[in-house]
Amino acid sequence: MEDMKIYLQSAITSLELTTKNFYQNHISEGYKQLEDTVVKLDNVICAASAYKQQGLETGINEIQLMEKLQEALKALENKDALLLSDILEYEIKGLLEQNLEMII
Amino acid sequence: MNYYEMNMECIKNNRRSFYSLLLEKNAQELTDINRLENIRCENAKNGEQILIIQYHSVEYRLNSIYRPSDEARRWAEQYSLQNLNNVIAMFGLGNGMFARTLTERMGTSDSLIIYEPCYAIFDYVLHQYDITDIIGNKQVFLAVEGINDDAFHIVLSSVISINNMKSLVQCNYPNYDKIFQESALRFYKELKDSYTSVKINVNTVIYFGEKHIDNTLNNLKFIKNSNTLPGIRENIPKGIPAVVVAAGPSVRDSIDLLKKMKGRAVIFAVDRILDYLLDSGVIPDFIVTIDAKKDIKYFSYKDNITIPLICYYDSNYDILEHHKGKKILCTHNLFAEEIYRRTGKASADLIPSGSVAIVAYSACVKLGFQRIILVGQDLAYIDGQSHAGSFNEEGNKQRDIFVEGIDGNQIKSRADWKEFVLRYQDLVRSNKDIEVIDAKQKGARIIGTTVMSLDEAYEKYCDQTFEPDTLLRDNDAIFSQNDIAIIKDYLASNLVTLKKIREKATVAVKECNKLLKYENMTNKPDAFHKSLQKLSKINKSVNSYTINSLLDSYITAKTADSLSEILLLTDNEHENNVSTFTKSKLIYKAVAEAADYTRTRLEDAINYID
Repeated sequence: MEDMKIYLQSAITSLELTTKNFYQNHISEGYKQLEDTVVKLDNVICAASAYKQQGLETGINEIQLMEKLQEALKALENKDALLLSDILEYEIKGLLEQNLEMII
Repeated sequence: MNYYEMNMECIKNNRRSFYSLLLEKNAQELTDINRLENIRCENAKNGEQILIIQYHSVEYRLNSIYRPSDEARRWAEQYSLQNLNNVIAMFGLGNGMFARTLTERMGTSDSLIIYEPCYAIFDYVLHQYDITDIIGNKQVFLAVEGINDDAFHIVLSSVISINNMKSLVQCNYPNYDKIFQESALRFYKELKDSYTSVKINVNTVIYFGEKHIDNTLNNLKFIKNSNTLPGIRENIPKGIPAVVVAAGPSVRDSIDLLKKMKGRAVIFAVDRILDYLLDSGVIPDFIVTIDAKKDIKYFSYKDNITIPLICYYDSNYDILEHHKGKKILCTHNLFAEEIYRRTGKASADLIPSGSVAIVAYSACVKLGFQRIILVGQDLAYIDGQSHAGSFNEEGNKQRDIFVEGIDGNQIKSRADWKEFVLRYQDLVRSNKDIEVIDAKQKGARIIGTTVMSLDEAYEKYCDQTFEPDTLLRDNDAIFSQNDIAIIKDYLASNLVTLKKIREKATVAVKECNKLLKYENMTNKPDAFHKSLQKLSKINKSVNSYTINSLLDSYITAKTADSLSEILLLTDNEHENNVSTFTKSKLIYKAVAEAADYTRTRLEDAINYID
C-alpha cells in the first residue's frame, strides 16, 4: 500500500497547487496545473482498481470519487474556475485525505 | 438599525464629502453606469452570504459557494505586503470580503485604495452587508464610479511618493476586470498615469537638486520690494476675465485679438512667449516664470522688462535678476511659507506644476478670477510645430504620443503635454465654479473646458474695460521695514538650525555604523535598541525644522535610489536591517552635506536682503 500512499499524497499536493492558482485568480496557471492534477487523480483511481482486482481494499470509494469528478467536469465545462476549485478543495481533497489517513 | 442605516451612518461620520455626494447624485443615473440586469444574495454552504449578479445577460457568482471567507483569505495570501508604506490599489469592492482580508494583512503605514465600478453593487451591499469596518477604516479610500471617481486619481497621486513607488500593489476583486472591462481599463490607466506623474515629479526634484537652494536663497534679495498674489488680489477688477497665454503654435493666429483684449482682460503670459508677444505689439499685464534652471533666452533678450513677474522663490535667479520690475513671489515649501507666517501675512503658497501655464492658471484662481481664457494651450503639435516663435522643438519618437484632440480625433502630442492635460483636468474639476475657455481651433482636448474661438470669447466676455495701471502700483510692497527685520531674524535663526541639523546628521551616521556593527553580532546588546531610539529622535527633530523643506531636493537628488528602496523588505530580518542601516547612513550623510551647502549660501543671502 506504500505506492497508494504516494499516489494519494501526490494527488493532494497537485490539487492544492491547482486550487491555490484558481483562488488567487491565476486562471491560466490553474488550468495548466489542473492537467497534472488530473493525471495524479487518474493514478489514484487506477491504483485503487488494481488493488481491488487483487482482492485488497484501499478504502477508496471510486463511485463517490467519480461523482465528484463529474461535478468538477461540469464546472470545467462551464468555465467556472471558482466552483471547480471549490469542488477540488472541499469535496475531492477531503475524500483523498480521508483515504490517506486510513492507509497510514 | 438595519445594515443600510449603519453603513450610511458610518459613511456620514467618516467620509463627509463622499456622504454628501452620495445624497446629491441621481440614483437612476448612477445605476445606468455598468447597468446590471439582476443582483441577489444566496447562502453559501457555510451560511455566509454570497453575491450573484447578472450583467450583459451573463450570471456571475462573485464568491465561493462553499466558504467565501476562506476563498478571500487564500486570494489575499499572494500579496506579501512585507514592505513598509504599501499602497494597494484594488479594482472592485464587491461585498467587501476580499478588501477585508487585505485590511487584516496591512501594516499601520499601508493604504488601500478601492475603486468600485458598479454603483448598483455598492448600493445593494450597503443594504445587505455590514461593511462599517471597511468604511470606518482610515487607511482605506473608497471610490465609486459616478460618485467620486474624480478623487481616485488625486488620492493615488497623493499617497504615492519616492519612498513607496516600488511598493505599489495592484489587485482585482476576482473576475471584476473581466466583467467590467471598460472600467478596468480606465482603472489601469489611472494607476499608470498617477505613477508616471509621481515619477516625473521625483525626476524633476532630482534634476533641480542644488538649484532649488541656490535660487531660493539668492532670490531673498528681492523680498524687500516684492508682493504676493493675496497682496494684489484686491486690485483685480471684478467681472473681467483672465487670459493665460501659453507658447503653443496657435498664439500666432491670436495676436490681433490679444491686442484688442488689452484693458479688457488681464493678460498673463508665460515666460517663453514673452518676447514673441512684445515683438508683436502685445503687452501682457503679468509674466509667469517657474523653472529653476530655465535659460534667459526662454525669458527675454530685452533688458528693460518691468512687467510684474509672478514667480516662485526657487525660480531661476538669473531671470529674476534680469527682470527689472516688481516680483510677485509665491511659495511651495515650508521654509519660504514661514516668512509670511512670521510677518502675519496671508499665505503666498501656489500649487506647483511642471507647466508654467498651469501655474499661471492657478495664479488666476488665487486672484479670484471667475473666468479664465486659455490661449496657445495647444498641448499638441500643430502643423508639425511645437511652439510659437523661434523656439520650435523637434519631434522625438521616444516621447511623442497621441491624445484626443478637440475634434475627437487623435492628435500627435508629447508625454509631458499629456501629463499637463491630465493636470489641467484635475484643476478644472477642483474649481467647478470657474469657467475655463480653451480658445483654440486645434490641439489636445482638456475635459471640463469650453472650446471656442478667441474671437467668440472676446465678443462674449470682453465687454468691460479697466485701467491696467491699477493692477499694481510701483510702491506696492507687502513687507514693511519692521517685517524685513523679522525676516532677517528668522533667516539668522536658520543658520543655527542648520548647524544643529548637521550635528544631528553626523551623530546619526555614527549611530548607523554602530547598528551595522551590532547587527553582525550573534546577540544584540542593549545599545542596539538605544541607537534605534536615538535615530528616531534625530529624525523627528530634523523633520520638525521648516528649513528641512529646502534641503529636501538636494537630499533627494543625492540619494534617490536609497530613498526609493528604504521601505522595501524581504523575509530575512538581518538583510532588511543591514539594507536599512546602510541606506540610512547615505541619507544622513546627504542631510549633513545639504546643511553645509545651505548654510554658506544663507549667510551671504542675509547680507543682501537690505
